[in-house]
Amino acid sequence: MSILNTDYAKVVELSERVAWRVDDVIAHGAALDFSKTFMPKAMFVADELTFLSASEKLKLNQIYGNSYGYLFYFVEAYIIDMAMRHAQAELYGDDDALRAMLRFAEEEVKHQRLFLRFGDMFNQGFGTPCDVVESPQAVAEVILSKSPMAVTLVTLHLELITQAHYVECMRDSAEIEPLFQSLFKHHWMEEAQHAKIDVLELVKLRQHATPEQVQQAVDDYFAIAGAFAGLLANQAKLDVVSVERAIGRTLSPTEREAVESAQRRSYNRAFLWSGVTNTVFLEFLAEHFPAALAPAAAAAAAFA
Amino acid sequence: MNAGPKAFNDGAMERLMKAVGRAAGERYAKEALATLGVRELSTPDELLAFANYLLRKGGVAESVGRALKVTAILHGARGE
Repeated sequence: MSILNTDYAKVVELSERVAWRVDDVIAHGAALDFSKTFMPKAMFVADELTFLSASEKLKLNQIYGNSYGYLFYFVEAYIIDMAMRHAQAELYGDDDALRAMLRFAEEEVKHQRLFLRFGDMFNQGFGTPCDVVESPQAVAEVILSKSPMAVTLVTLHLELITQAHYVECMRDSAEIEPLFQSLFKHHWMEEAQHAKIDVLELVKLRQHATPEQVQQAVDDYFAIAGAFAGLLANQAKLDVVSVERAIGRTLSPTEREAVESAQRRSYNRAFLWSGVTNTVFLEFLAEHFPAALAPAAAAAAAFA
Repeated sequence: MNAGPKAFNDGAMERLMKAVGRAAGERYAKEALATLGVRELSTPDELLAFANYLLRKGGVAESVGRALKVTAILHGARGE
């Protein structure tokens, strides 16, 4: 597995090579093209809904794109905290690891700035307000209360899905809004390095862990995934309100349920299923957390 | 810090020496291990107790203690 064949010095070198500034990705004064879709068709379950017109589906797709970007902003709150803890642990230790962790944290703060700028740009151009789940700090607190190995496993899961989404669904699409596509290209470039750091940190923590600690990490990982599913379900509910506002009509109860269900499935597939079926993630679990494989298969079925 | 029981001890000592110098580091280590009643650090909880000892020393030793405390917690220490 390529992400295992690395070390902290190589990660720092690559990180320096691919680094970018927020202004390079979204310049001040830039605007989104709202005639385009944001999310790739393969990730947008609601595209199948027949009671929405093409223009209504476009609005819902864009609402999903806004929430998708916001959810990365959201999870980065806990990832920054996690990266800072791991950096603190390397003080007076391995200088390459310390540099890698500090860059990791700094880049995640930068990603938050990027997603905030995207959110501002979206809100300025979309036309109607879009609701998003609140309190990233409260969620960060819940996640960080779990075992450090589980927290890092969840982070690896998230770093890998950002790569999979960009490479498999966004990179070669001619239909996606170009600025949105570029944002996720730049995000992917740095997250690819972060995934390697997650692996290095997990291997370090796993080596000396007791069987009980490993089992706790597996249990905590799935507990966090379950809690995240609840958060995504809330976002799907909010999307129904946002799309009614955007299209200027009230959907019937059946239609509302169908939109909510389709959105929930899109989020679950993007953020959960995509992780628990990721080949690299499963290879890593098989080698270091084999007890996670059976529940991962069950989670894959539940979140498909 | 590499994992493994010996790695907890060696990693902590290396970092302490790197930060405060060999003479002061050896003195702190000797005092701390005697206080803890162990010959070397072999569990995350022992590493945490060692870190807490350094935290009370102030200065750079305190800073090493803070780093080692986080290391111990990341490795599952539950002490205190």
